[in-house]
Amino acid sequence: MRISLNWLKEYLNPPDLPVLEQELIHRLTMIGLPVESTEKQGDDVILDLEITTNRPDCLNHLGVAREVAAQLELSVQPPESSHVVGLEMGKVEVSIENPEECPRYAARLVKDVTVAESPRWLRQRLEAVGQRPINNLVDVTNYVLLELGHPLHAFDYHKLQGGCIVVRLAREGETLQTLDGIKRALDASMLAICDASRPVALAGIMGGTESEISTATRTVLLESAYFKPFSIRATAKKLGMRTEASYRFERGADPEIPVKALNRACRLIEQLNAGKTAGPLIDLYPGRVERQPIRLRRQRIKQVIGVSFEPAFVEGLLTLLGFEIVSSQPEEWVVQPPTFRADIEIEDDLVEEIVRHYGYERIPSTYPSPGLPEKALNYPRQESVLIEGLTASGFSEAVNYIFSTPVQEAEFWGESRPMIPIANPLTEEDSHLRTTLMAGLLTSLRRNFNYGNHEVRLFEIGKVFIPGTSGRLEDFRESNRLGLVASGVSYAAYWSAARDELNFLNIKGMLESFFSELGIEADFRPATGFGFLHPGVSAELSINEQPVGWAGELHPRLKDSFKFVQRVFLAELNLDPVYALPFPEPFYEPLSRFPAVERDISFLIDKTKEYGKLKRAIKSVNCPDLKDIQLIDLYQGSRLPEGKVSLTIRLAFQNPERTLTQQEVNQYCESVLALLRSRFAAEGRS
Amino acid sequence: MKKGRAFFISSLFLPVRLSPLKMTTAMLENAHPLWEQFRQELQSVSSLGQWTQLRDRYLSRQRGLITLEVKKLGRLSAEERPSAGQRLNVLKVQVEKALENHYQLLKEQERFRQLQSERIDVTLPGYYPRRGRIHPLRRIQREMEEIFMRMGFQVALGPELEWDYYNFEALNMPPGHPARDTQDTLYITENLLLRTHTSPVQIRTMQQQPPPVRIVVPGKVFRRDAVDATHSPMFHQMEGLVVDAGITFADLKGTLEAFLKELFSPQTRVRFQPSYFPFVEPGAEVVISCIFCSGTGCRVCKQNGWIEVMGAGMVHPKVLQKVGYDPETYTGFAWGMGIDRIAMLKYQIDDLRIFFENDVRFLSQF
Ligand SMILES: [Zn+2]
Repeated sequence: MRISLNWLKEYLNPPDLPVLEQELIHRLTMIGLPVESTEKQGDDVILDLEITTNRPDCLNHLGVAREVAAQLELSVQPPESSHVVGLEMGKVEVSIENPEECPRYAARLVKDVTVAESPRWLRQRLEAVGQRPINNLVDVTNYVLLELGHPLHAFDYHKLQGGCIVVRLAREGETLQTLDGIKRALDASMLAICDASRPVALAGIMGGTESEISTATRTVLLESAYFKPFSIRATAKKLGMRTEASYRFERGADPEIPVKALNRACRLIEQLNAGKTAGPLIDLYPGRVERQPIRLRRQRIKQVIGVSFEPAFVEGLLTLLGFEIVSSQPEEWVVQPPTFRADIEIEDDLVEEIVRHYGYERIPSTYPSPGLPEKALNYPRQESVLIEGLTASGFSEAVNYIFSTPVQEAEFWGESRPMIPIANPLTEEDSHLRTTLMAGLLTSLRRNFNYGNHEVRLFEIGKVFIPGTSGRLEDFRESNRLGLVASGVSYAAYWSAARDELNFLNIKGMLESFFSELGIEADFRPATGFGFLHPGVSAELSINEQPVGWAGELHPRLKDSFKFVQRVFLAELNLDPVYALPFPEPFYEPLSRFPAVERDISFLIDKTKEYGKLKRAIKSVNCPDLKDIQLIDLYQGSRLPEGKVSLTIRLAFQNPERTLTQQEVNQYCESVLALLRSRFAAEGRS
Repeated sequence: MKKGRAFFISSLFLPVRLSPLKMTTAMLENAHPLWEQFRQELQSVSSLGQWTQLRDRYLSRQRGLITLEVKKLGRLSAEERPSAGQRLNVLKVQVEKALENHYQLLKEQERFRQLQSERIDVTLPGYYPRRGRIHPLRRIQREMEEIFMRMGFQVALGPELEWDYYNFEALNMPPGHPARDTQDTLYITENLLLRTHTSPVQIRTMQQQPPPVRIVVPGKVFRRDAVDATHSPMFHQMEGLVVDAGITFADLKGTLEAFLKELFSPQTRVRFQPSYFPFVEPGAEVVISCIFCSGTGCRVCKQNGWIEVMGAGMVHPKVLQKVGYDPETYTGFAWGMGIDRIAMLKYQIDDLRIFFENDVRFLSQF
């Protein structure tokens, strides 16, 4: 809101400010009217104020003057707006069909109109605050808007069919060409100002071209009404319109000002010799609402702010701001807010008025005494363990938008899957919510390759949004996920060491180490049905037989379609079951004083057999002294029979109470080998 | 021994010069002829192998030259025998001692050669473990969480897809409220939306527990905004809430001042200006003295010396009523700030978009 300092001073008494301009700017900021910028114009200064949505009363010079006066303890001198006697005859019929939307409608005729350019002083005033002058009549309505804050509208009276005004909801099928030249289709939710047969203006938003003031206009009908915020807001939003008038009505105009504003306009028109006020002033006010006064307790101010205020300060300040002290007792008051302050509803609103003008900077800074809540809130402690492991393994954290598109995800899944659509997306790329972190991570990976970064390990922890099976959007599920993508060499840290390209076992090992930190043993099983993964390099992960995710190599088909030259490994994990597990608490197991005995067993086995199954089988052997099973060698080569691999497994045995005998250990190994022979057709080697 | 040790130390740094053994005059006069021969031969011994050969040549039990001399003693007369025997004894002791000394010398030489061959260039790059980094937004979020946790706050989390009731209605923004316009919302259905702030978690937390409440709420929030250097349809917020009997606006000031001075610097000046948010009353905008120019004016603060960092205020009584807290007994304060914005200020990042590009060259800077 642009405010001319010279214009503002007209309403102050005395008109000279007791403080310097810099100080005024500071004070305005500190009462909640921050000055965005200032601009010198001759002997005037234009302040650009930022007005919050709750203060439509400050969207004009008188309103700001009222705040300045209260802050500087001056008094306010409102402009002359007493009744103007109409010397000419004139009669207008006005009726309000929807008082709920239009509680008040005032109007008056102005005859013998001479539409011309406004005088210099008026044009200058308007231009100074950025309002383009049009003609004397329109300029007067704009002047009153910027002075008192109330939107007026001027109709060419002779263009109104039947010479009457009907305030009513539009009818389906009715149209109106508004002053911006657009022909608009109206509906039954929109309040219109109509003549005998048709809409001539969109109430509180914009007039129509047909009744617009022109140089041919001889008689003008001036409208000064009060429209309810909800009605104006809904219509303006529906039509995508926002005008000076709608902006103020939406936020709440002053229902008591229409007649004053009308009188003020008539006085100005006569002063400019632009026309003659005619006939009686029409003022229909079917929707008058009495506002209840508000009780204000001195103790409440103390309770909320932490400071006690002198009764004299409270009363003085509220009075300066236009509040009426209805009754006054030592510790409390009954206060009637002014009609232009629609934002004041409760006692704490009054508290804010007092402390705002007292100055936030004068309130001391204290520290609240600690109140301890009954219980600690749930917080996934596992998350920071995971993040620690990930960063230690060379993964950096990515953050991607949660938006995706069916096309993008279908490319990944290889099929279209149900997604949650956004009803009002801003762009096509933001049309749905992601169901996997992979689309974003692969895009990030591609971007890195394009930038020339070939060593890329990224992780993301974020939510995906799964639609319910019922088809109802509101049955959605949010799920916490961990996603990984990795590409490059396996030991990039060591400049002199071999630079092997990352492979699946690197990724798996990292995942295993994170799990082990969380006390979780996850199973990796060969996976089918993940179309985006290399069919031979893909695993499904499960914890306690519950599937929690997958890991593998990006399918060469996708690798080609993304135009990747390096192999890419990826994994996604549902963290909800991980977070649901108890956080691992280590407990001490006495150390055996008796040394562990290690034995290596080697055997040939069919290539198709899975090590995972084999290990599970060995574990199931009934041998409490078997402490560890480790694969230490896997050989496949020409020296072996076709289709066979040679495995060497190191078994460690230990008993907490005694040294194991050679014989016992041999027996254990033999039973393991027997099992391998019978279940996996293993052939012993030694 | 002392001499030997001194020699040992110097031999680490200098190639050993083989010096002839020093003999006393008396010894020389009486010396056995083999002594001079041994000395000559010893001088040319430069490896442990040669040393062993030399030792065996003189001291071997069967064929050693000295052993042979001892065996010859028997052929001497009884008068000659004692002095010749003594001479041989002296010779043997001298040879053994000389051999021992020479052995030490050769060992030192060998170690020296070994150490030299093991020498490396310590200025070569170390084998640097390649760590990844957490995202700068998480880094700053953790820093802020930790400050608040030291002040007795707990971290509360909540859903990103949220009901209109929690996002707006319970926060004193009924349908048709003008403040809904300033938070352009992405909707899924009429009632379901992407949360525009993390305030719904304040409501959810208060619904689940009686006062006192002392929480911070970090998380993603969403607005229907086009992407540019300072706008994004997704960004991050951290809000906080304190509710208890006796909480005042003065407490709000003290708490947030303490936090901001800890986050930025103890010299930071903090100012509270009246502002408006529907869910607080009174409301405040919190500004700090510009961290780049200390308040003298620069590009970042648009020349006015102050930077907006958060919105705050006393929790609106209607909000407390909605969750079943009695506003006559309990008061509270709440605030909210953009994590992305704070990160941009602290790390001097001038374009919000870089946070979501995930360029590893960017991520590795944090
Ligand atoms: Zn600055």
